[in-house]
Parts: sequence; structure tokens; C-alpha cells
Amino acid sequence: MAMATMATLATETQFHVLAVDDSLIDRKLIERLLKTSSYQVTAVDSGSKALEFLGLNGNLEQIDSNRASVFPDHRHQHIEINMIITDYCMPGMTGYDLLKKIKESKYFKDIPVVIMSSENVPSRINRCLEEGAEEFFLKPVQLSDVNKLRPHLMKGRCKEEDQPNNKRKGMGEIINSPDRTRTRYNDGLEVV
Amino acid sequence: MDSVIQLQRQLVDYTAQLFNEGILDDQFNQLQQLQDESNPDFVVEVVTLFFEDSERLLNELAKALEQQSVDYRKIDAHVHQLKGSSSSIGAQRVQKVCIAFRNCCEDRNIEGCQKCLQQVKHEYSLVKTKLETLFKVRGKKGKNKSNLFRMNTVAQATDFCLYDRSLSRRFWQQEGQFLGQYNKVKTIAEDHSQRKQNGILDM
Repeated sequence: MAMATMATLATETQFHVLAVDDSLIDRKLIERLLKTSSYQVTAVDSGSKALEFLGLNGNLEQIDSNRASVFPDHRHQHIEINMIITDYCMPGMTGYDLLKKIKESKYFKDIPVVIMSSENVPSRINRCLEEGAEEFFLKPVQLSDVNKLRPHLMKGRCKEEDQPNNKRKGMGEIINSPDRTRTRYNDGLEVV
Repeated sequence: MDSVIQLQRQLVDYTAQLFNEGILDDQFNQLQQLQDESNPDFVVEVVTLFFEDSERLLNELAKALEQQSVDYRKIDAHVHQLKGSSSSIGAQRVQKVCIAFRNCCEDRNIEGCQKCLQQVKHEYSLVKTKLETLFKVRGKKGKNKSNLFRMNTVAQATDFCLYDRSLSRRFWQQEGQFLGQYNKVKTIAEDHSQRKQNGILDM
């Protein structure tokens, strides 16, 4: 990453999360949960609207090798998104379909994706984690779940800023609440 | 001021009762924790959305069950939505009936579904009444500095009559002052939910 971009990112402390859920109530809830944690939030009601927002409509994917932030007068419009959190059960495109599309995208495949579901179906959970979802939250999502997001966001932005504490906390929380969330750990995290 | 404290205490009892009876569960507490000075109407707004959404779904369910050829998948989809939203606000008994309702859909049991619809309407109406009681009045930036106005929830006089008649009389005296603020808050909540109907919230 260019030094100039790094400097820009360092001053931007607010993470921008895209929330996707067809339920108005759940959108309001996740928006409040995320804003309470000082994240900037954009909430949309479908997978297709999410793709539209990201600039991934159909086969048209605008690629900029620089990965710069959004400049309103720039020809290629890239939305700066640090995380996507999506409901699983949605009419039309499911959260799983959306996850796949994001992972197929050259530009957004490294953005952490979190899946939410009201149903505790192990095969569903495993499928999502295998497809690359960072976390799987059972609804109703609570503040304790949203607190688990920070390590993923920090990892995504600046690898050097990763705190060992966050990783240990994440492990501890998984052990204490095995039924609420599932996390996929890759080589970026240490096993304590 | 004593009556205010007594009112507060009885309000706490009232709320506790709702939890004991399983009408509300811990998720409702979670909602209250998300409310603060910057979002003082959060719980009322979410609950209002729940009322609107539920009423729409209950109407759809009634219509769907009246059809000559019952579409169980459509009914299941509606019940799934209702289950989700009731779970999100902590309306535990509504959620439980929805689970039974979905089982009847799976079995394509029309009588079971009709019974479940009646049950879910009953539980919904119950939680609606209780929540409306809790949120009758919100004292926002009132000039009145009493604790009662600062509280998030005030019980309805009719409910209080069951507890203490002398208290209810004093409550009604204050009720007149409350009403003006209630209408203001109600309008704000309605307007807010209307603006969010387009499905995209841009922050």
C-alpha cells in the first residue's frame, strides 16, 4: 500500500460497515448496535441492493489497483467498506449467495463478512464459514456479538495494529459462548 | 414526591411482572441498554415498528388461511418474519407460538394453523397492551425536573387502579401534563418509521 494511502487510513478511525437485512426491525437494531460501537453504518434491505451499493452490479466490476477511498468526482467509484454483515434468510439473494459474490470479487474478497441467522443449523453455519465468513451470529444479535467484530476490522485495515489482547479475548468469548457464534480463525491469529 | 417514588416502585414491579410471566425476555433489556441521550426514543421506535409489522403480518396470515387452496409456504414465510421480529424485541410468548405455528405449516395442518393464528393474535395483543402501558408517556426535555418525567416508562392509570386507588388519583392529575408530551413523542416515532420505509438507511 502506498505511504500516502496509509497516512490517510491512519487518520480515519471510523470503520464503515454495510449491513444487509430484509427485516426493518433487524436493520434498525443492527444499525444501533454498530453505531453504539462507533462504526459508520449503511443499511440496505437486500443482497442485490448491497451489490449495487458496492458497485458490483451484474458483471460490471470497477477495478482500481490503488484501492483508494471514494472521491466523488473520480471516474471509478469505490465505496470504502471495512465489513459486511448480512442476514442469511432473505428473499431473492440469500446471505450465503451474497457472501459468495463478495468472495468472487477481486476488489472485495478480503473484506470480512459476517452472517446472521435466527436459526441454529450447524450445516448452514459450517457452509458459511467454509465459504469464507469470519463469524456467524445467532439472532437476536447483541452488543457482546458486535464486540467480537473489532479484531476482524483491525486485521483488515492495518495488520501491524493487531493487538494480541483482542485475539485472546476472541478465543475466550468463543469458549464461553459456543452456541452463539462461530469464528473462523486463519493463520493471522495465534492459538493461546 | 413520595407518590412519585411509590409510582416508580410500582412501575418496577409492573415491569418485573412482565418478565416473570414470560411476556418479555432478556432481549427487551438489551434494547433498553441501547437507548441513551443521543437516542432517547430507540425502544419506542423499535416497538412501534414491531406493532406495524406484526399487524400487517397478522392480516396477511388471516387472509392466507381463508383461501380455498392454502399456500403453506407463504404462511410459513409470514410466520418466520413474525418469529424474527418478536424475537428481536423480546416478545417471548409471541415467538413461542410462532414456533408451534411453523410446525403446523410443515404438517399442512389447517386446523392447527387456525388455532395458532388465534393464539398468536392473543399473545400479540397482550404484549402490545403491556408495552403501550409502559410507553404511554415519555418525558423528554420537559421543564419538569421530577424523577417521573426522567423515567423512560410510566404506567397507565387504569393499570394502577389495580394497585392503589389514591395513587391513581394523583397520577391522573399529572396525566394532563403528560398527555401533551406523549403526543409529541408519538408523532416523532411515527414520522421516523415512515422515513425508514424505503429500505435504505444512509448514515
